Amino acid sequence: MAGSKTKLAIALCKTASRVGSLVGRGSSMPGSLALKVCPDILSRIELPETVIAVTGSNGKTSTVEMIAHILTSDGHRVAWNKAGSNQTEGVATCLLCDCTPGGKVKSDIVLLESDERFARHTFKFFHPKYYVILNLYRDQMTRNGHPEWAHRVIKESIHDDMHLILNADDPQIADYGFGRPEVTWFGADRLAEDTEENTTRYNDGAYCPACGGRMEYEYFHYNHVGKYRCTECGFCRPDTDVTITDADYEGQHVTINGKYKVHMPFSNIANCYNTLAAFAVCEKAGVRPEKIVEYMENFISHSKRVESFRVGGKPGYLLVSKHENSVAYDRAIETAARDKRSSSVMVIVDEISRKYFTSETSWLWDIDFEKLNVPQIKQIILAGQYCYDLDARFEVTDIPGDRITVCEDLSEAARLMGESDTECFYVMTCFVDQIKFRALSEVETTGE
Amino acid sequence: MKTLELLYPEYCNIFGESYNAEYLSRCNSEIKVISTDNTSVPAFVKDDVDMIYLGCSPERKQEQIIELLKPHRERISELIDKGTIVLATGNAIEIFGREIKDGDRVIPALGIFDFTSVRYMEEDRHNSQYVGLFKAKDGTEITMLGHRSQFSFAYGDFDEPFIDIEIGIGMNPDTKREGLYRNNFFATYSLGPYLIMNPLFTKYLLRLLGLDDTLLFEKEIIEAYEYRRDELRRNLG
Repeated sequence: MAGSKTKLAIALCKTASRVGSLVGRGSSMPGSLALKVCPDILSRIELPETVIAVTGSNGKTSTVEMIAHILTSDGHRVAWNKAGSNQTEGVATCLLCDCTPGGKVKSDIVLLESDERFARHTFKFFHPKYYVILNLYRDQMTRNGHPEWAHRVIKESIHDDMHLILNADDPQIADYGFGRPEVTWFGADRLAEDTEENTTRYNDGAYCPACGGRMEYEYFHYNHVGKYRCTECGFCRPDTDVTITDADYEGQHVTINGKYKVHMPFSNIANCYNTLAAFAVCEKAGVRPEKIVEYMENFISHSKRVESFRVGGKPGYLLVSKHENSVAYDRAIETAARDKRSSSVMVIVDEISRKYFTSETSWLWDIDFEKLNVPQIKQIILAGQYCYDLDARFEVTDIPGDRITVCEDLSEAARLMGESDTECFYVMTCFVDQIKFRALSEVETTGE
Repeated sequence: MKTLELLYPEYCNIFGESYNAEYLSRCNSEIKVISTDNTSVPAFVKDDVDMIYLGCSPERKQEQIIELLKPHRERISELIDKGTIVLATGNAIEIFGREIKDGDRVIPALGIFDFTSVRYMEEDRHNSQYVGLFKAKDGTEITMLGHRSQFSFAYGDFDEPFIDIEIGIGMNPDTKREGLYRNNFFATYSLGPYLIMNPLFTKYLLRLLGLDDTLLFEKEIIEAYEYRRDELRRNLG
């Protein structure tokens, strides 16, 4: 029987959510109010048996979107924080808005994207049945410090009664399941584009997360993700339960466990993993693999990580990366460099964060811009108010200077891009600068 | 030929620090970089290197570095006293202090400078930027820019500061004294590619090394520096 405080918090949250949605503040503010009225409201409500949580540095939103699509296609009613607020307040909004007045969540499955820093606070109140941890990268130094610290705070969110679904190929993540009895491991077999050496600017897998010993890699899928073993303590990449056996970027699908050919929304290695994680948890939640394949065929992402546009009648692709996150940029660079058509690439750094002021650009030095040095990329435009930092960074690459243009003004940069005689364009930037680019009069958005 | 020893680059490259050595060596082909990993005895122990660089590291690795350097404490002091150029950035500065406190733990550091660092790992990370003035002993004055993002602060008298802070904080929120400066030893809490962010200081270091002070891509690097300096004064001043 719910107490009056519980009922009040739920009512307040629902009312605030309705009001908030009218003024565009509906995702975390209602939950924040409810938590003020009843700080332990999340432990008072009645949750369904299946609660799924997804955390990690990159790919949370995309993965959760896929899981929601599969589960709803399979006939489940799913409560999920699709508005994107993934801290404790956002989780509260999501859950309380789906509650009966008496405090019972109406959906039969709860699906939560959880911020990696806040998961330890959120999961004090309840424990997800399935906890998917995708990856751990250098990400937003000002919030997350460094990966070793982020590794520790994610660890604090893990409890014994959770079933972990872990990326076996990321040693920082695999460490959470080391010695644990029940874990579902997902990962990739050796793939065509793997390398035997780490070809990126740094190696966050150089040392064992368990003992600090030196690690050896048989191969790298990307950055520190690959097949590894510690030279000192025996920690190594676990055998996987759910495995990518082939990745076809042109055909836009991954083959899982040698037989399930699953459509993926975007073609890069990061999305292979997101798709794999979604497959793994949905299978665990009772969806038949054949049905997952079927449901994913008509999945359309709304997370806008890749958008099409046209400039001067020619096609372009806006690859949304996170500033302060070199791994996200590395994936965008791979996508642009893989295209065999002649192209112009624009990198925009106009505002580093939408949440706080910083002019901190050390993360630019971790990005593998060298990989844009392919013959079909004819022009690289560095735009936005940090174009001079970008210029300094590009000067240290071997990319010929005559391919690089520096232009602070975004509109002028778009005009220059439109004048190039290349077949297509790629634009790399983050969420906040993406909006500025889309709004330029030179840019025709196609809505795809 | 000038020798620059880059200490523990696999530990100390979390915010692009390795580019400090790379950039300096690209500025002048006379500079040879020696990278020393955690399994090797530093080159400075037996030979007189011209410059040593130590960058920021995760806390656990920082403690390992202290253990690796402890046997060479006297040699490091000797090199500082005789004017070898040393640059330490980020939490590497704490390695040269007396101790680091982390809750109930006290981690003895090299004790070359008399100050104590305190970690606040359970609190939000401190993030800020600074603009300050470096006054070299030869009269050179350079406006320095820095980004700090840290779980710890340092406490002490800091009577040998590297930078007088104009905007921002120093070694802790209650002082405008930032960093350490003794002979040619320079240390700051600022992170990342510090020499790229502070090209005028890089020119100063090249001169200290007895080399031509022309920078690689000098025009672009100085443009970025001036833009950032003006932006920081505009936003934080």
